[in-house]
Amino acid sequence: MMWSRVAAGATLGLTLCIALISAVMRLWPAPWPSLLVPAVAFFFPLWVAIMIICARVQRTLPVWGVLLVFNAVIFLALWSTRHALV
Amino acid sequence: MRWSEISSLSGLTLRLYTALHSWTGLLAGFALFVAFYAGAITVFQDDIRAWQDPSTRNVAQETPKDGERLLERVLVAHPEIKSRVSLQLPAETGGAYVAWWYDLKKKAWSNASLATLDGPEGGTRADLTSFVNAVHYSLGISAGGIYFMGVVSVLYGLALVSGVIIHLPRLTKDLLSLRPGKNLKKLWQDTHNLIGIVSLPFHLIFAITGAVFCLYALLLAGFNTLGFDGKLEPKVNMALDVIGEVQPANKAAPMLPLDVLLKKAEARAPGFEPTSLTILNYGDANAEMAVRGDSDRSLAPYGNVGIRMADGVITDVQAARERDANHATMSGMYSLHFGSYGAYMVKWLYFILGLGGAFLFYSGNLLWVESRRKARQNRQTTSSYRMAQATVGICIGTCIGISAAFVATQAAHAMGALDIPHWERVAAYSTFALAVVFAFVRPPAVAAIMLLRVAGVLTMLIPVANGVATGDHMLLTPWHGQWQVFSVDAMGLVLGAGFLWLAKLTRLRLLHGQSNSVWAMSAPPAREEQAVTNPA
Repeated sequence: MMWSRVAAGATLGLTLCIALISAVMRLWPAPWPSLLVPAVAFFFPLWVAIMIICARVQRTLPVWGVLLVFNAVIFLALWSTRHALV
Repeated sequence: MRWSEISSLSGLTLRLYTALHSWTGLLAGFALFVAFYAGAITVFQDDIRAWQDPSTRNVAQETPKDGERLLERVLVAHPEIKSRVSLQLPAETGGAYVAWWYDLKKKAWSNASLATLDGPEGGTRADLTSFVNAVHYSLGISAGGIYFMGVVSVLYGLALVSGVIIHLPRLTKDLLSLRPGKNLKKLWQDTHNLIGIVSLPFHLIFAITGAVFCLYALLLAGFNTLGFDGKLEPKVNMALDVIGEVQPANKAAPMLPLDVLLKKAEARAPGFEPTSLTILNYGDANAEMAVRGDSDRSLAPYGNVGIRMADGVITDVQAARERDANHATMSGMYSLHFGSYGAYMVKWLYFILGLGGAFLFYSGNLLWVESRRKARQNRQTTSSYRMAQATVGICIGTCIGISAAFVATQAAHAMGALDIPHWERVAAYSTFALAVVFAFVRPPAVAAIMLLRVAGVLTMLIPVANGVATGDHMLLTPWHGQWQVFSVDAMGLVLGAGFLWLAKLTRLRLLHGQSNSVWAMSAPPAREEQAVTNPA
């Protein structure tokens, strides 16, 4: 079952990383395009950390559930503020 | 899920991370061996560039006027590349200007210098450096190889972090212990851990920067669609480059001379030494040039200056001490990945780290084989036997293939071959394929001994081929000040001697080591034994 949890981290963890980093870039005081490369560089350590944490949690279904909820919340926030993007 | 459910570092957790470490390491191990071995050689690409092309040795350095002549001749022959063409400067090639462009018909990069244009028709310069570099970042697979290596880099990151977690509890006790003795697995384990932990910071750097370089295009597409509602794509070029924001005017205009443009760029960024140029829309009123190069006294020396070719106006400067976060991060990652922040000491350090990394993956596979060893029987499992064969064939085959490409470069020059890159690849791929086939038809120990001997002889032939083909042999090059050529020859000798030494050790293991091992078997497990050992 460990591989199922790692798979959760690899798939939903990937989209969660994109959502989290996008949110931080948008909230950052500097214009978001100035953070593109640092964001890409930060993405991989964060993604690997999520996969490692997911592997260590003992139950499988909650991992998928929690990641799904986090994804939904952050993507909803990003979607609802998309008009503010310049 | 409560986070309290995350267990402490119990036996279960250790087993879990050990499984994660083993399988991610095994899945990515072969590709990482190839990447690290080729990467270690790529560290010396400036020296190899001087070695690979005898026509650039002992010749006067070309001037910017030669660069202009080359550019105009290439553009007359290939008008379709006016929109984008690059020029390597003599500072990088060792004497000549070299034009590079992507040939849409061939679907491959092409290059030309004045020497090849004046030579026999269709002649192409040796591109050993590009080939070894392509093996490093894409295994030499043109379609999708770079993305495959990006995924491999992510698996590598997972293997690194899980490996550290496994070894944390025993770190202080086991870190510097090497226990030679009858228990070979322990010795391999100690060596694997020692190299892994000591070079961990560099491995973390390689894993992160490798993933970024291979996957940034896909990742930015993901950010564009999911995080930025399609508004990121138009900003990418500005974040990564200094030119490309202006559309062509579709009106012809005279271009300023190359030396004037280079002087303007150098004057705008003091201490900046140009090494290559990227030119967009040459001959157009809106033609742009990115002057790429290195700044002195910087830990992240790589930088760019954007300049308009018609009037010489500097449009953007992204060099050391005056660049934004995007270019500073990119330059820092280049610098850390390629070791360009230091001189030869750093290059040698990276070379040793590269070979050490290759050893890490090789020893990881051997550990997997040793872990499945049946202590009380001479016959071992089929999986162990096949893994040992694959490890021998792919790892030593890679070393043979790369050495063969070096020898083929000089042989092709000596025989007057026109398409030298073609012969480099034929030599590399055919010897690699033969090595893999040989490894699978012979017992692992026998194949290892034979292939290591072949790798040793072939690698030692590198200086011989250079000496015979060009007359610049190792007793002459130091006296002529050709240290770059000498260092490649010397590297061939040292690596070749290393392979022969490993062949000797493997032979001793076969003759005098314990018999209950795949390294002592003279034939694969029989079918009936496979059925017993692998009931599934």
